[in-house]
Amino acid sequence: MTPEQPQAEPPGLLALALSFARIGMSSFGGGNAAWIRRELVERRRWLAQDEFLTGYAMCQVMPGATTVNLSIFCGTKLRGAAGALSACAGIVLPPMLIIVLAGLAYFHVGKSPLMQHLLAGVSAAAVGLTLQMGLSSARRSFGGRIEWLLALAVIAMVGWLRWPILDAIASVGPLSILLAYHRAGR
Amino acid sequence: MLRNLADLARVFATLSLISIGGGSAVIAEMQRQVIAHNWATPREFLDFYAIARSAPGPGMQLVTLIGWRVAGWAGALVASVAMFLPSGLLVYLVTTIWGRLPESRWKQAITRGLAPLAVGLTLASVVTLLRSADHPLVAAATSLVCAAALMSTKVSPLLLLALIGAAYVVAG
Repeated sequence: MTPEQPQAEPPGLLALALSFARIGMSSFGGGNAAWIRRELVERRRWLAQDEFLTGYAMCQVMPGATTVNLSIFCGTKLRGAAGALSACAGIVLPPMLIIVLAGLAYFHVGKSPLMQHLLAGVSAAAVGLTLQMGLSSARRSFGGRIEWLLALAVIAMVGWLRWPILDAIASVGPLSILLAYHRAGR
Repeated sequence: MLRNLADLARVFATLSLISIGGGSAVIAEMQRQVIAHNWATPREFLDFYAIARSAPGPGMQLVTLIGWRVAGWAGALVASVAMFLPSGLLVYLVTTIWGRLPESRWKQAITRGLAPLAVGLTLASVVTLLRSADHPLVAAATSLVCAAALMSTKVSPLLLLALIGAAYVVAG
């Protein structure tokens, strides 16, 4: 197990909102959670890696947009209800302006082939951000091969067999938690 | 106008609470409702989806765009709040309650046990996104190069996105 990284003091509400605004405006073509992890865990050290991963798993299972849920989870952890509000406002409001402008452009200009090539490239690269997040998280928080086997099972169920994610979580989750419980006792 | 706003709030608040597993879980139901209410044509809905996915911010900003189409800025705001608030409140409650539980072996086991799930779901979404790309192999190669660059250098992700976008435009 890698040693815990030193943690920084929790941020003020404005700093939190600005951080999430930055994340919201940077995450072109998806990969929002990857940006959140980069900023909060690696760059600012406001959250520990394990804390982030637990929250991320929870946010994926619960109803609602995963990214917005994750902003609320991080905000709550750092500064309670006010923190949840500022993180959520930060990640939702600035991109909202952009998306309405994009909608205006869509109705007035329509889509050009050049724009579609650009979007295809940016989206493929954004998938790379998500890939990197998955691999880095595994490297930091996995203690051995069993964790990789469990993760591979989830990848096969959801990515290959296209199971609903709740089914995958219900089959792998209890096993994974029991294994962790067994290990915690040693 | 007010009726439209009330309809937007009702439809999206319901979708918010049933979207277990993330926003993409309710896209089909959302499309059905949006078309039944005459808020957008099927073609517009698809285009809105593509715009929201490639613009910065959460992919679920799709609802902002639909609200804006129906009732301007007020519609954009009402649709977004309706989609994000009910589920957000739930996350807030669960996070707070979890944080107040005393430390225990079970709590630690749940924290550690969820990590392989989070990693598995993240990498599964990579597979799903690559499979839905127009050219899956090209997209897979691009994302691998991008991930390798991020892991082995200190390159800024934004710069990397811009470079790869430009390369796609040049290559046509």
